[in-house]
Amino acid sequence: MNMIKSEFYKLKKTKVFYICLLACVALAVFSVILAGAIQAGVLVRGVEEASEAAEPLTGVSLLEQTLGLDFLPTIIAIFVSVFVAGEFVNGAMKNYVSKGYNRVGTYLSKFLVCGAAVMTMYIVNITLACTIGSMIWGFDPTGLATAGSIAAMVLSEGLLLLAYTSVFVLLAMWLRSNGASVAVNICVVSLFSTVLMLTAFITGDSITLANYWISGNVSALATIAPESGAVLQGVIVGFCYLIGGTVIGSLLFKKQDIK
Amino acid sequence: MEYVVQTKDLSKTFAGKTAVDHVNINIRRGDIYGFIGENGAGKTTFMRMLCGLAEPTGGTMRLFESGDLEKQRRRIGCTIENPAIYPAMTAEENLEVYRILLGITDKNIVPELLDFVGLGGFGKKKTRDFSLGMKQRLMIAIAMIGDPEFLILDEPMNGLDPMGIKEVRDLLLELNKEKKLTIIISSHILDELSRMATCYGIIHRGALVDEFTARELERRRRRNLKIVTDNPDKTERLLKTSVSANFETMPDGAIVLYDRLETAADINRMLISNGIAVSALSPGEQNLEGYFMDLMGGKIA
Repeated sequence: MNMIKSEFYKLKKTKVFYICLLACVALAVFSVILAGAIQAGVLVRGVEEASEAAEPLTGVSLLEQTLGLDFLPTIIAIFVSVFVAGEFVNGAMKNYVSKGYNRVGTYLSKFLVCGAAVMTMYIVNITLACTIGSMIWGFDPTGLATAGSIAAMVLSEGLLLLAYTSVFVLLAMWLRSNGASVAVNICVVSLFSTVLMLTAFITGDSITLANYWISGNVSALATIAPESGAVLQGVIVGFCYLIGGTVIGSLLFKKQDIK
Repeated sequence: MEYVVQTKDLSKTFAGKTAVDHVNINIRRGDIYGFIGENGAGKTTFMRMLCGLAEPTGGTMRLFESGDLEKQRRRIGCTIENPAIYPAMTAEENLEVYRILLGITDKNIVPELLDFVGLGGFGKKKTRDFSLGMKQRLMIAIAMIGDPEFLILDEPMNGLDPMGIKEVRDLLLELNKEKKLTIIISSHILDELSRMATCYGIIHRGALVDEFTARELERRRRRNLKIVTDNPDKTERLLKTSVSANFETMPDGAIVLYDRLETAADINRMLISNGIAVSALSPGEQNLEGYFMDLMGGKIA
């Protein structure tokens, strides 16, 4: 418990957390402006088909758009990399381990605090995007969304973000360098899913690897009306990466020499 | 006799290279153990294994006569290699992290420790702006939080000015005397180490080549006779031909004689009778550095 308290104290004092939180606020505002601009652009051009095809903007549709973007996982990748790897860069991890604290406990406390920080950023981001959108265009004038569908979307996306966090913590603990961790974790968000999509050329339609990676499920679940089975698949993928990443990470850290 | 550290054949190999080779060390409670060795000898790796930062590849280790290392490490404070601190935090915030971690409820411990290491009153100054000496002091404060019974200090004098070195030395001696704190300390400043240590271990290429107490060192140190004359060249020639003693000439021209010390009076008479003015003829003894250099010279050869 003291380890978690101590981690929270560090989080409170860490600049990168506030910078990333600010980026989440900016991201929410930016997504509202972008969505509004795209809609206005479509209407200004006067292309009737396009304007007819474009769904009207609402607080809920803005929530869907925000959740489907890669920006938030990228911000989280940067935060986790700096917060976790920084501990090795300044050598403070030595102090923790040498105080005789269990390595698995040390890893888990780090992950838990990262998870809490990530959830804070997530909630700030979606709440702000949805609130601003609702203030401009109304929350859900068409009445398509139900409390259950919104909760399912927000919770499953939250789980997938925690799964990302687990992978980021694992990589940052393993790489132990700010630069390398930031680079690799950003690649995990953006490049890895592209590579998986490219493998579809080799595997054909027989197997879609992107379905088994977090990113593919983030896009699939960023809707109040997901395809049948998508939620279950997303939840399974989320739990697999969340638990798998934490178990592998803590075992690796247990055996790792700390410099 | 209570032992704080007992290792048996403790070894560590990195990618086929042996960093620590079957080291057997016993550190008694209350000892100040001076750990000596050249760069890369294995001092830091050994200390890292004591702290739990590196896993031994062979041998066993006991702390406070117990095999439950994780539990016993709560009784240890350490500083290994570079100061490990949060650069964006103040000294007080750095200590606060560990106060919370160790579950210490008394918040006064932080300013008390900062005062103790001479860092009181630095207020809002971030540790990234600290000098290396200040960082070292902070590390000692971090190592001391939680009232440890055993301190592991790897080069704690690095970066300290002479005043700082004296302060740290006095601090460690006080902790050892007042709180019966056991300390293992590595340092390249052997003169400084010899003012504190009660016993020594010398490590060379991963192996412990010698272990002795400060009292034993007194006995082992070579005695010598320092001769200062107005004509060092002629003195050298005479010592070679007339006395055939083992000696060396110092850069300042003084000659240090290592044997035939019992004939000091005869040597003095011989030099004077040859027209040499002897301005000093003083007995002395080898310091820790000289002893270490002799030992290393012998081992390397």
